[in-house]
Amino acid sequence: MPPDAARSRPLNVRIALGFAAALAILFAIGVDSYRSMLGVVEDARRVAHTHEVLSTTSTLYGDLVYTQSSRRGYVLTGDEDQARRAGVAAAAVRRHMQDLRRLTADNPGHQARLDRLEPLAAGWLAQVEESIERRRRTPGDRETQAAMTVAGSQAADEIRARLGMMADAERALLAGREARAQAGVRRSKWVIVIGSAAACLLVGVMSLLLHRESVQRGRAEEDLRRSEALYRTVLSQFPNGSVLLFDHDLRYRLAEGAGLAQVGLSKEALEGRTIWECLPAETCAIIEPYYRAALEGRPTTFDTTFRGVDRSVYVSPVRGSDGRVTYGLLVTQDITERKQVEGHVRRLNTELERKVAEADAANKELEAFSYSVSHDLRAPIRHINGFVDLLQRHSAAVLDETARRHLGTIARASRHMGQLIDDLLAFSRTGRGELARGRIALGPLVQGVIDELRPETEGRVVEWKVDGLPEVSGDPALLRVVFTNLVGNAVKYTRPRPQAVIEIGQAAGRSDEVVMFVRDNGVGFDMQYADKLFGVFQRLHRSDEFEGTGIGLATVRRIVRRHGGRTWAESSVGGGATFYVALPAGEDQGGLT
Amino acid sequence: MTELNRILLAEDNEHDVELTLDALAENHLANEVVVVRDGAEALDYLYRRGSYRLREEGNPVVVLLDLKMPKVDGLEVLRQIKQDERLRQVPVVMLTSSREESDLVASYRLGVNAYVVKPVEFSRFVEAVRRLGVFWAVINEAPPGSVRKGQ
Repeated sequence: MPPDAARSRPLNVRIALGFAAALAILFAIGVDSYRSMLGVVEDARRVAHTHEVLSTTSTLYGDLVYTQSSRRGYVLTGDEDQARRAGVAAAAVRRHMQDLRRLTADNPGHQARLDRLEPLAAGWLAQVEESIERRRRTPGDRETQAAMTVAGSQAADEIRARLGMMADAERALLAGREARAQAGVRRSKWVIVIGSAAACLLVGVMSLLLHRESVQRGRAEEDLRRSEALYRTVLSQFPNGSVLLFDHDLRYRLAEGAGLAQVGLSKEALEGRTIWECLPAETCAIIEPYYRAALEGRPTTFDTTFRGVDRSVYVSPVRGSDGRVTYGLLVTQDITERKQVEGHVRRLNTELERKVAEADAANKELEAFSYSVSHDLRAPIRHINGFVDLLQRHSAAVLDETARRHLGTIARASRHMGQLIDDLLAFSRTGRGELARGRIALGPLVQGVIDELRPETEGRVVEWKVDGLPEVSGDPALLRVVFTNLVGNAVKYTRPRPQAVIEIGQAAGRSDEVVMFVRDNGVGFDMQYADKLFGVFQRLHRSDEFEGTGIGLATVRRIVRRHGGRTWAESSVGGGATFYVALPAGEDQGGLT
Repeated sequence: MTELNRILLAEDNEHDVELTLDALAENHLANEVVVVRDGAEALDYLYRRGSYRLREEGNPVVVLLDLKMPKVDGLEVLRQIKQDERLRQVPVVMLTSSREESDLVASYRLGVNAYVVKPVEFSRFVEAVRRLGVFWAVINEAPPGSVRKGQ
């Protein structure tokens, strides 16, 4: 039922009530007209009756006059024919009197009048008959006859008068009846006119309402059709998958989606058919439990491969407004690509895990190697140095100058070897292990480094300019290694200067970096070798000029890079050098690796 | 140097033994150095068993222990010393070539009393041994039960 049912129902009721009212009015008009017609018929009958009464009265009147004149003729002429006529007329009077009595049986006024008229008429008729008898018996008795004529005339006048009264009463009755009948007809006319008008109006209004209702319904149906077309369109475009609706018979009621064709199915092949009618038996055996579960109210999700297509399937119950499961809804999604990607990711992960394992193994090997270097390699060097020293001390007397010089060379070489090993170990350590994280005030750290280098600056003039060093984030021990190397280099390469000036501070830089610099007025270097400077074992000076292993700046670069920063240098030959260290700014330690 | 005390040196490398003894001699500290050549021997000595079951009583004033030794390594010897009620108080100094942090951490975790990395340069090695000997054998007051010469 459409949602606007609640609104349209009163309209329906209103229309039905309207038509019922119109019908009732028409029925009432009919009843009234019938009754009015009956009234008219009755009135006509009554009018006819009145006319009959009047006619009878009039006839009686005539008979009366005829009787009188016939008697008189006989009395005057003795003509027996006249006497017979008088007899016939008298009989007519009597008969008509009876007629009148019968006609006016329903009228008490007339009956009362007849009650008086009848004896009068009987007396008069008797007198007429006596007069005729007497004339026959005594034709000469004129006086008696004259007297009888006078008396008869008086009686006849009275009878006539009374009949006239009756006729007048009847006429009055007739006028009243006619007026009543006309009023009834008028009323009926109005009832019909007004009633018909009302009924017409009602029918008109109802028709209007009906029309509107039908227009509305039409529009609702149009909307419904359009919305169905819309969702059909949407579902048919359902990408990479399909949407199926099935009922309790496992019959597909709806099948849409671009994914149907991918597995060789179609909307036409599915809709209206049960799963057993349109799918292979083994597929039905697999899916039936899921369909049943959905119809029992339990949604399920599973991945399956159907006709070579990996699909993710979601089966869920569709409930009616009463909460009962009416349909099952099945939504499938093609996940072939996802599966492939997943497989690829899995392979990559396996690869990565293998590589990590390899890297771990390599790291372990490296650790074992550096342990070896640290312990086993240093021992022979130490021994060489130790025994050379013993030789120099205990056997110096038996050795000539050249031998002693050679011994000195061996001792220096072994020392250098020891230093190389120690530096290499330090360099290797900077690349391994976790970075400690913390905020470090570089000012005190650099001051500590300078204090440590005091023995090296003994007897030299060194001007230190340390100012404005910031607080940075990083590993304190490793950052100390950075500045030990940089400041140590500055001290080393200013050695030829009568007055060394070493400046350490913060430089301007990008907003996401904190840049520190170490500047000296030492021998400097040629900028074309600036790239080599930070490489392992790369040196720009001969060992007999400046001692060193060529590992210090490589260590600096590696530590700074591990902090997410960068290093560079500026210099010119003889013009001093400036080394820069840029570390990521802010509390964020994201740059640390 | 009126009073010299017994030092136990556990070191498998003969060159190191010779250099260490020379350094101790240089500083006149070598009179009472017992040298053992691996960890097992060091434990035998400390527990007076095996070839040392007949040795006189008393613990050395300090044990100089190399880390890498055959049979039982330095860390294991240290662990056993520090776990034993009677030996726990004997000072143990690691005298080793290793600068590895893992060795340092393990040693201190087991309760080592000092950790000394042998310098490559012999003169500095001599200096280190001298300081060690002077400190543990002379300056430091050894725990009761230690063998002091002349007692």
